[in-house]
Amino acid sequence: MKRWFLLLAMVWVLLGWSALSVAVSQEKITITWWYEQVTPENLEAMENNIVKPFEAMNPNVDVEIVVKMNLLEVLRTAVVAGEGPDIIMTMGPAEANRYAKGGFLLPLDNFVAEAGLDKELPALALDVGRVEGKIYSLPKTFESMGIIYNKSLFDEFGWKPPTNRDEWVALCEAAKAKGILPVAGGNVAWRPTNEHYVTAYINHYPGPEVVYEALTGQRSWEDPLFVEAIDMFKNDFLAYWPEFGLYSTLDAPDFVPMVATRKAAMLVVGSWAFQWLVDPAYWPSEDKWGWAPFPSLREGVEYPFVDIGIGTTLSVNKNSKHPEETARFLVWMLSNKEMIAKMLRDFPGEWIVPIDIPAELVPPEVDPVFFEHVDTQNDLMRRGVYGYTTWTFLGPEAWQWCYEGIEEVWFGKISAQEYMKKWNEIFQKELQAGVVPPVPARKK
Amino acid sequence: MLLPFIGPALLLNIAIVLVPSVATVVLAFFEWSGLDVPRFVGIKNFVTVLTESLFLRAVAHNIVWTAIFLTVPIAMGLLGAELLRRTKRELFQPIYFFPVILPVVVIGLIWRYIYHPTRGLGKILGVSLLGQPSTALFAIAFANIWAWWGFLCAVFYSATQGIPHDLYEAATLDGATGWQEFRYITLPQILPTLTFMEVMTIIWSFQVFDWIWVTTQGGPAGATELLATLLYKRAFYAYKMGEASAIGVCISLFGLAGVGLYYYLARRGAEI
Amino acid sequence: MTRSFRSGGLFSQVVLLILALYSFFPLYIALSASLKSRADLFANPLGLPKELYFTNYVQAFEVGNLKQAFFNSGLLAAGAVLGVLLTAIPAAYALAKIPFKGSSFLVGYYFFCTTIPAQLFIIPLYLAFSRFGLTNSLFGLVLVYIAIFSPFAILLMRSYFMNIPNELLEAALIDGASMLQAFWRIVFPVARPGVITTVVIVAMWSWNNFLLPLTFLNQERVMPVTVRLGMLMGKWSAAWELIMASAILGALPVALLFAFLHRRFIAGLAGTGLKG
Repeated sequence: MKRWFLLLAMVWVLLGWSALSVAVSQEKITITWWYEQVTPENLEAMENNIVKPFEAMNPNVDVEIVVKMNLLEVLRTAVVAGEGPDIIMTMGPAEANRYAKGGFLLPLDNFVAEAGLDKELPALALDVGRVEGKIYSLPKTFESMGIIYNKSLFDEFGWKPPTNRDEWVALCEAAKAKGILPVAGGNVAWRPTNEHYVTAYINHYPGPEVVYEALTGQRSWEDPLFVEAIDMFKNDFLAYWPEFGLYSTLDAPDFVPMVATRKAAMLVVGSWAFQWLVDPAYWPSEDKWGWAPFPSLREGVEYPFVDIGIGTTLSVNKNSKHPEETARFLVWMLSNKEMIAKMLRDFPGEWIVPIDIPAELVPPEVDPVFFEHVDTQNDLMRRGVYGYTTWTFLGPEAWQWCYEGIEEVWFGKISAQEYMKKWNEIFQKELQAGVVPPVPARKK
Repeated sequence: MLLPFIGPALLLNIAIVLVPSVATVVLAFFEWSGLDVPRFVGIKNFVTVLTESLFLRAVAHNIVWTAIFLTVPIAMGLLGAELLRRTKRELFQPIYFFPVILPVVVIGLIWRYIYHPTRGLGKILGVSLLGQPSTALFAIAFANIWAWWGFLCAVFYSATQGIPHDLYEAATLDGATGWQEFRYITLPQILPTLTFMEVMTIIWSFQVFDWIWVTTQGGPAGATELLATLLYKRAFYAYKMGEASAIGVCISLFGLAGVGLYYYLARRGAEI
Repeated sequence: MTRSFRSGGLFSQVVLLILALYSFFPLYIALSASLKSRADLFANPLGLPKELYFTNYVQAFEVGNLKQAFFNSGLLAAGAVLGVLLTAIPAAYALAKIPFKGSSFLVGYYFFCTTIPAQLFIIPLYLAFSRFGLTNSLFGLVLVYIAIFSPFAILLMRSYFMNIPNELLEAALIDGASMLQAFWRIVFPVARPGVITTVVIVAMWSWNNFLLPLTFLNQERVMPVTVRLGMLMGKWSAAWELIMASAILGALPVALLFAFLHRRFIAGLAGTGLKG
């Protein structure tokens, strides 16, 4: 028995030792990229469209994409210890700017200028990643809120996507009259889903100018326009969304098929939804889908406009062993139109870079509705006609209150006034502390 | 002479567990975003955290959770262990144990399906068990009990295997009932193991995180917010590592209270 | 009814059967989910599969590179079990049967170790390991497992050792046996079911651990099954049918280990080798 033990122990130590050395040895230049959670299909798309062409062009470079669940914590733990991947991927400028302020990121201005990216991307895209004037992060996914609806259903009843408040109410009521749930949605898998709707109302009732003023501290969030917007949302939510007991147990695999099978009329959702639509498990019907901007809910608020958010940003780790190659890779990714066009087909909703893509590069399989959405979004962005999503432009505590506090409004525990009051308190505190992400100046 | 017995375990433990744990406790006295330079703030974090209604509500939830787990799964485990001992139907044991092995994320999904308000139990009962603030915590606890009681059953069953058979034979001769056999022979013989699992239940009940995170993430309307989920959000969403550490220290203290109870009972002479 | 219970008669067996069904029903859901197509799973999560998609298992195995992952998980579990056995058994025995000064304190200390929440303690641990170059290595991870599972293992085994009456030990010592002989010949055989149970628990926890390998391991070739399973989940969508298949595949080794050890070392030993 003792001999067995010793033998086993020796074998194990040897194996462990070899595992240790195997994990450590490296030869070529390897750029490591810790990617957020992504399905195997999408990972394969990235390998084929991005990694392989880049490696072919640069034979001495290996790009290694490592998928990390809980990227947020894992990244933080590693980077703080001086380790971590070469490419730092975060969920938005708020997070990226923290890394920048902590001195963990490489400034990218030279590389951006070198690739001419500053001419291709709108100023907005570069400004959100600026800390003290230098660019530290580049946004890879621009997303916006809108309405995705069952076009076949709408066509059958002669319905059209609403452009203003009256049309919105009329549409919802018409759907209800037919026993169809007007808006499908659920937050069981991602509680902050609540803020998607808050974003829509907070922008489309007061109007983006008003939101801009509030974000820059020129107007209080307690302004009656915001309070009225939340009141309006509360009533709409209770009337047109799934009942809360149901809403808090639904996930995308539940509510997207609801629209496809005409149990619900539409989703109020962001660009990421397009990756669901192309999967027949999520859209199990022959019906067609359509996209439209969210209606403007008040007289005088222009239509159309969309609320812009940034889903992911890319930066270079200052402690990277190969910072320059990494930076070049980043910049190449965001300026390579052919590759971006392919990603429009293979990973719709998560690779939206606001550069002009010539029509001939767009693969035929790209969902035309999605393409129209991206086109519209880019166009509105360029013209400066856009609103602000709460997850990109609020500080962390305000963000948390935004999606957690709204549930208390739904339950009638607090009024819209109290909700916005607390929102304002938290926001002003964070503005003072300098943790509110910078808002690029609006075009006039 | 004692050193070779306890030495190796202790050494590894001090290097890997004690030092980081002390660091965590120390961090509770600092303000740190996780990405900047920590700043000493004394007991400010504790004051902030302990006076928050969110924190107190989470503590209440943890206490409810602890109460549930100190009773239901333990009773089930004892029942299972005792019946297995008597009937000698050992084949059941691995079946009871299998749910313990499955990853929490998968069990969370299975039970979400079971509770589903339009397709599952929710439809039959007409109530959304996970979606309503009043039932959500209990629904999750029930799912956890399903995946946990088998663990206790296995632990208790192994403990019964050391009980001398003639104790039971003597009891039968004396005309003892089944319940008396359990109460006066089985239970006292496995008391150390039973008490130990009760203490661990208290300690673990204050650390519960995964179960909440894969099902409701603290919702609906904060009904399932526990100390560990609060800690996580505070550390990684709000960038307040110091406050998160303060919450962590509280979690530890609650666990230690359970340990204190154990020592108190031991001193009182309960041979545990 | 009491007679039925006491002799382990019909009523007891029926109760056990009910418990088995209770354990099994949700497992049936997982099994059935693992055999459905994604569309079928979304449309009909609780029913039987429309078509049996055995390919889910094949796909899960390939996409997840499960062959390598199983090897890694196995290495981690074996290493942890070995390490814990070597260090925790003697410690547990000493704390159970050898009265010494500070024994109470040490027990309390080990309890304290189990009270610390994992998410916080990982950050300073990672920092420390980073200094010693132990990140991204299975060896380093095994050391962590041994260190964090030992407290529980020591305390659990201690309780099993405490179940054994001291008179037994004293009798052996009077007969001239040394402490070590007393341990091997008298205590260990009786506590063996408990030790084996602890082994299975440590193996299971090592096999199932997710957060530590996720944080410490950065290369696919060293990742265990749990992390590979997590990699099947996207931000907005997940390959649920593959996840179910992976989960069942992943749980099999530990289940088989438990079933085997249980049958061989634990079950049916009631009362062997002990006279009161």
